[in-house]
Amino acid sequence: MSSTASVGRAQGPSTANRGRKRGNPNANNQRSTGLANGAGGNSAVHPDWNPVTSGSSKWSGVNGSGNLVSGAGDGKDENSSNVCLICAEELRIIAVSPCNHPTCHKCCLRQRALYEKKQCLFCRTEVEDIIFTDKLKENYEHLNKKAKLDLKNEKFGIRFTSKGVMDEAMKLLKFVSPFGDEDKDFGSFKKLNEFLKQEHNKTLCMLCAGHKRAFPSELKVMTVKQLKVHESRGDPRDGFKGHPMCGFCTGKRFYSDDELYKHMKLTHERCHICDQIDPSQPQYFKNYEDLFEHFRSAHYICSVPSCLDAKFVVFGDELDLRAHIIKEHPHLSGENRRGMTLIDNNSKKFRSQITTFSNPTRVIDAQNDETNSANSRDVKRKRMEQRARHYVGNSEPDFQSFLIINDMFNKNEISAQELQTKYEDLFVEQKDDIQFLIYDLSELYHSTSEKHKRLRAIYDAIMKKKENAAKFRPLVSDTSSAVNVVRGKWGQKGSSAVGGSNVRFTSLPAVAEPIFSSKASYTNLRKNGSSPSALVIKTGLSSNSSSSTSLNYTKKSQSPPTSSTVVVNSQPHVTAIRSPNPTSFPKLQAAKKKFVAPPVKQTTIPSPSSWGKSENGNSTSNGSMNMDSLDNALPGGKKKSKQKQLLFHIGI
Amino acid sequence: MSSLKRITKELNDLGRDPPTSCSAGPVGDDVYHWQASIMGPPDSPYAGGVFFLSIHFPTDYPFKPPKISFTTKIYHPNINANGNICLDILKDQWSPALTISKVLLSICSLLTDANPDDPLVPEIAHLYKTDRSKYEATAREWTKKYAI
Repeated sequence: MSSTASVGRAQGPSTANRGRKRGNPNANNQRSTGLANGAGGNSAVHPDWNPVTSGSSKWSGVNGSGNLVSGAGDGKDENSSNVCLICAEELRIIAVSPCNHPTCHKCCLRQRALYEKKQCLFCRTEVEDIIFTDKLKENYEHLNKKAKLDLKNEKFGIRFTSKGVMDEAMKLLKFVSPFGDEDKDFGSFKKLNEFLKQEHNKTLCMLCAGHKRAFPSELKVMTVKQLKVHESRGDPRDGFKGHPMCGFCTGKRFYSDDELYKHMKLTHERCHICDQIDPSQPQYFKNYEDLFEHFRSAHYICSVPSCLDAKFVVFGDELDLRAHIIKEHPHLSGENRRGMTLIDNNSKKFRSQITTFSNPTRVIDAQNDETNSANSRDVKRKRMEQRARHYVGNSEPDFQSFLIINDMFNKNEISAQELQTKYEDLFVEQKDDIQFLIYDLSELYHSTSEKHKRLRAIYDAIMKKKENAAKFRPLVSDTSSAVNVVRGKWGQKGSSAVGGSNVRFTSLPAVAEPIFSSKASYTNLRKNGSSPSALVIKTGLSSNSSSSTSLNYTKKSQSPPTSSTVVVNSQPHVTAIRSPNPTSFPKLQAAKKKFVAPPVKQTTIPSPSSWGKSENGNSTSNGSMNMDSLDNALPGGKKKSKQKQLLFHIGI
Repeated sequence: MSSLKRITKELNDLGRDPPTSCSAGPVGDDVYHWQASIMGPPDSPYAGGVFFLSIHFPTDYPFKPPKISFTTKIYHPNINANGNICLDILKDQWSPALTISKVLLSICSLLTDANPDDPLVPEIAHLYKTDRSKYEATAREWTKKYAI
């Protein structure tokens, strides 16, 4: 059953591709293997053939749910199993290889006889022996075992299942007159051409005969006039644009640009300096003399005889030439005055000429730019459309609605914001990328137009948002523990319920107030005249309820009983102040301004000092609050905090 | 010759089942000259870009490979300033069984995984090997400049 399904898929390229999506380069091989298996004459495989077709129709039933298009596609697919996958012609005789990659006899013979290669057209395996048969569903193993294959062509390594097949195939290689007036095989294009000229006043294109690797019957027989058209203009219906001519060798034509390129490389000269300047416009010269003239007029040659003899000692600019002379001919560049004048003369002379040379290239560049900008709007539109098509997964109706949205925007029926929301609705899958579409669309309007500006503003906003998101993301994930401590403190509400990590940043501004309120309480505390160590202990005491061991330890370790009692006394006082309303103190406002500043960094400073308290900060906010603001609130805060830290170290 | 039939078939297949990240079709009436577009692969510095290519089919297609080149500027070790692509399957490793759709997918994967050991632009290949982040930054910059 599974085999049926796989072959069924292999039969329908459309479904097969959809399943594959990111298609692998062997996709065709797969399909052909499927075909080969299906087409196999092997008795084990053959009975599968019918279920296969039913399987494939089942597939369409499931897939297309009676959809007309898929039905039509299926019809085509069934056809395509009878079509050569290389040339797309209908199969009449197939060539079966041991790797079971069948092609039509023409493609196989073209490969073996005309291209003189024995590689399989699909998998490139060297195939020594191949079988031609007119039974389209045969496979190699079966044929090899079953049939007596006496008919053989040794030269091409082909065996034939019948005389008819052999005649049909080998007929392709015969040079016979297309007019049917002579049964003779002329044996070569040359002889056939001579015959055609003599008897019919017609001719073949000998360039095509030599290079096209076409069967004799495939070449057009033309009159002399037709041949001229063929050579100069070609036949656009065949994608053939004529045989290119070498500009130096009068009248010499080549089969294609590739052959012309080879010829140019071999027999003519190319200016490598011009190549560096503009590689898209190679400059060719008939021979080295012409090239040298060009070097002299357009570039900087070294005129030292040894370099002239060595040839190609030429530079794109004066600096390179000077560097060369200093390096290779130091006697010219040094004290020798004659040498100096030589160079100076040269460079002056060439400088004047280089201007005439470089101007045209600049003109070319400018033209390119112009054409680019002329095309660019067109290209940009295409780019936007391709992008949109891609984002909607090539769905035509969605793409149409995309165009409608753009049209509405163009007619001012919707604003840029509405356009954005409409895009978001349309491109559900690619919501993250719609800014590119907005950018593309903005590019279609003139840069001074209102629409362009509005779209660009949206694009910038989205990009900024993304940038910010990208900036903050690592902070959240990497330093989460540290941030949590800070948040614990900020979670002034005294509840550890502020769990959501998202809230962290938004809660910042609100945080400020409680801190100050605590600070305010702090000043009160300080007025009570407690030493810094006492302060620590105080918080430690307050945290007794939450029983942080380290803090208890701190308390014990230093335990100056007097100061601790002072603080304890002060503490209820603090809570009393805080609990009614933190904003009830007018001082707070003034202090707030000082503190508002960069919250994240600031808070990390107090956080280490209040590690111990962060825990009780959650349970009883007072203690932690007091500690936080210690540094900043107290005039001599720094010293004290130092002491306090020390205490902690000892404690821990 | 059969190139026209084969090209038409490929065009139909593309229309029926377009590949995910690329598209292709004839420019105007000339079936032998196509334009294609490739979306920059998301896991590459070309992400977000839409790159255009031009495709010329030789008359001997599919026995000879199509001529494919980028028309959008791209910073890549295997693609030069003219947009020429250094890809084996477009040269000696061409197989008549390959189709435009597969070749385009191969080019897509070339964008994700460049081949600096067989470079067309040695400078870029060198940077690719020695300072990958700088190469990626430049490629991203070019993408932003020319392909978005």
